[in-house]
Amino acid sequence: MEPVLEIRNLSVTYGKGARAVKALDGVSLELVPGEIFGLIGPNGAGKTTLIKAVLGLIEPDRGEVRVGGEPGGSVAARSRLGYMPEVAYYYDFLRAGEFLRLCGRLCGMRGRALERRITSLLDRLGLAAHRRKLIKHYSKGMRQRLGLAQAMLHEPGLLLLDEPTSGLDPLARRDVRRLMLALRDEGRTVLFSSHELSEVETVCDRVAMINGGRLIVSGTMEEILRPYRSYRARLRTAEVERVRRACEPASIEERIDSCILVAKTIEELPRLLQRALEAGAVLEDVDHGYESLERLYAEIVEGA
Amino acid sequence: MLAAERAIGRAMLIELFRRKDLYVLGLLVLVLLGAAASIDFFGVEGVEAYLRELSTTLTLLFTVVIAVAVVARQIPREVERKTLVPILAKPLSRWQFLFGKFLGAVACLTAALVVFWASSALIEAFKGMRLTGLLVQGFVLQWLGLVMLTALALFFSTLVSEAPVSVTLSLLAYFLLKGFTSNIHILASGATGFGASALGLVYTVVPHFEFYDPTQMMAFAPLQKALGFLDWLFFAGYAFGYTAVFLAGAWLAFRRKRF
Amino acid sequence: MKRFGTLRTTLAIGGALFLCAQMSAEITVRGCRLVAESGGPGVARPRTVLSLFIGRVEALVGDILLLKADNYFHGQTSLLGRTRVGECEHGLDHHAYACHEHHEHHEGEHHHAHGALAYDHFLYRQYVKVASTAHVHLRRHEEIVPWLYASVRLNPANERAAVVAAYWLARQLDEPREAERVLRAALAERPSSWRLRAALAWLHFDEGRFGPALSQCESALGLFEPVESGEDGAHDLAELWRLASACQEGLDHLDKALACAQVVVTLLPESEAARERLDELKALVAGRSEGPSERP
Repeated sequence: MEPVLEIRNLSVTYGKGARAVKALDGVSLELVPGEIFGLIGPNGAGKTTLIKAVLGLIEPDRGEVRVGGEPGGSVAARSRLGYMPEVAYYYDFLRAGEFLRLCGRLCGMRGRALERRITSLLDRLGLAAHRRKLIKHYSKGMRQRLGLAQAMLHEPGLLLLDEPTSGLDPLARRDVRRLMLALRDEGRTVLFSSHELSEVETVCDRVAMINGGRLIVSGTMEEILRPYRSYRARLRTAEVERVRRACEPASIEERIDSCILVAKTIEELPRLLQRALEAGAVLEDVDHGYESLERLYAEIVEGA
Repeated sequence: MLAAERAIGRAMLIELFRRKDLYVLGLLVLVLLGAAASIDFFGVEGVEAYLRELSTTLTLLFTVVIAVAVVARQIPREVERKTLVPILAKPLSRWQFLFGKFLGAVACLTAALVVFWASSALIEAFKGMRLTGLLVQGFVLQWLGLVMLTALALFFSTLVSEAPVSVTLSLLAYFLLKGFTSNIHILASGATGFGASALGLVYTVVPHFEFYDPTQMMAFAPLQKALGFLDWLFFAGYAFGYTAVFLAGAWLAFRRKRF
Repeated sequence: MKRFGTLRTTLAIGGALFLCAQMSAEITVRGCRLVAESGGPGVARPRTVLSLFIGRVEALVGDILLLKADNYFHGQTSLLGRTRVGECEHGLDHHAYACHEHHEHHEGEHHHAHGALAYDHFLYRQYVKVASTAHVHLRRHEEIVPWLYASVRLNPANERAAVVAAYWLARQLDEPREAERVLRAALAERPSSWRLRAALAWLHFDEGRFGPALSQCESALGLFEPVESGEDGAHDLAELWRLASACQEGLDHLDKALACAQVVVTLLPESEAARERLDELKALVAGRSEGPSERP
């Protein structure tokens, strides 16, 4: 399957000489059609820089970007993607319809097809009633939705959404997530950056984490969290300390009249269970799961 | 043809017409002209030249201010407000964006010029003054000069990131060039050798905005001859030539900017 | 922000309206009761509201507008070339001060390229197509009036502006009453200006009012201080005595006319015209064979 987006060894530096700051350092990524790709990282990690380099708003110092086979930053490449900026600043003196008409014409759309598309998007995003208002009278949530509308207007194969749920209330966030899932189901690719890790865990097929301009980890949720997979056995015991001593150095989480034994690998689980049972515990349940993405994030960011 | 540029220009025009600033200037011109036309000068009848000069000067002054205020702030403000980003993310080149802004500004200035000149013509007709074809000549000359100035202001707006700096540079450049270049030949005629050659070169190279100031021509209309076809060819070609140079400079400065 | 925009608009339009009103009608400080003016002997003209704000700039602009009138007289808005505004031998005030020496220019007399530089550059040749450099006297003298009007209104203390304006109004545009108003307004600011009194004297003389003319002439003589030393100062004084002589003659006081003419000859011993005039008067006094001479 031909990738929708290819990024090879991308590097971007701001400033010169002693004041130079490497915003991106040798980042490589590939996105395929029909997936939701999450981009996470702390503030200043390089997420927005990466997106802008793909758009051609920033010319990289090194590396290559291809969008659907077209060189990144070219007019042809930009015709294949839609972008929603992090901060929703649009022409305040235009109305929503006028602004979308402008965006549509810039994307080569015309006439009735454009009008129909605008009407349909405004309906879909709940802005139909506010179509004739000037954008300067829009709330934050309305601006975000307008941003989505202008990004989706020409039905691009790849959508770059920079913090699309930032500043939205829970219901609005849910709507955005649903929209992203719907777009994926249509066969489009969505690359979005977010600070909301729970959101990323919920919707993303794949995730990449950037810190200090470098790509730290990239892959499906399972791939990146595999090192953090654990097996948890719930044991009923009145003597938690005894079980703890018996199972050292494994992790024991104390509960009321019970405890949770955490084994990192399937191989060590039976051995630990044996010790726990010998210490007088009774096995009630065994399960496996992942540490949350937050754990990984914190480890990487704080460890950096 | 030029669909993207026209779309950018149209959006710019809509924004300009929805802001109130420009109307204030237009009203000011009309008020000043109307008042000037109604002053009684010692009871002497039939004075015309002052009104033509005043209307041409006011029109020129205000349209210069509009041109610079509108254009020189465009790109710095868009960068500052980040409204530039979603537009440049669309499939259009940076040249198309710049040229669209230029077209929008020229359209706005043309409208302003038409209003001012039409008002002047109305006031003159009301005073019983004879309207001549020189009105059209003056209008076109001023328009050509403003097109050149718009391109110059756009060039400065791509060089600097603050709107006030861009406006100041544009106004300074315009008034210095207009005032200075018209006098270079006086210096050159008194100079000799290398000095004369250097001044001659400067006189050749710097843009001559004074060509497009029809104040003298309008004030002394009965003494002025109409320009011929070749003259128009020169003035139009000169204006468009420098416009192209400034626009090219703007594009060179803008194309690699990071946003 | 919205209120600030409305305020800005109101201020701009209000300012423009005020300027126009100030130009067309005196809006005085006393009239507006803004300041209690003492109205002493030196303060003949109430200060305008505008001058409260811009003070000396008002006077400066008035002086500049006199140059503008001079430009208009020459048929262009700027003189290009060696001659500069005010220095041209055919300057605006030259006409005003020298009108009694038959220096008036007739239409079509001076179409020459005086003031245009012989600078041969292609671009300059294009420039002159939109900005005339020909030294062409304006065919319609009315056109300089707005600038003279503005000049004397903004700075009535400028005696040169008043004299020039009075000349053009009285002599060229047949508005002697307006000319007198201008001179009297200037005199209110500068009561000790001999030039203003001389101009007023000439105005009365041209209208055949020899009594008032003589009165003003004598005041001018009493106030006379030569602006330039040497020959020009003597010339100015001689002109005043010549006017006095003509006024006396108009009043049929031939002896006094003769005495004044004698002073002229004393001041300008080389002047043939002065000697001829003296001889004429002597003959008149001696034989009373001719009537009053024609006005110079």
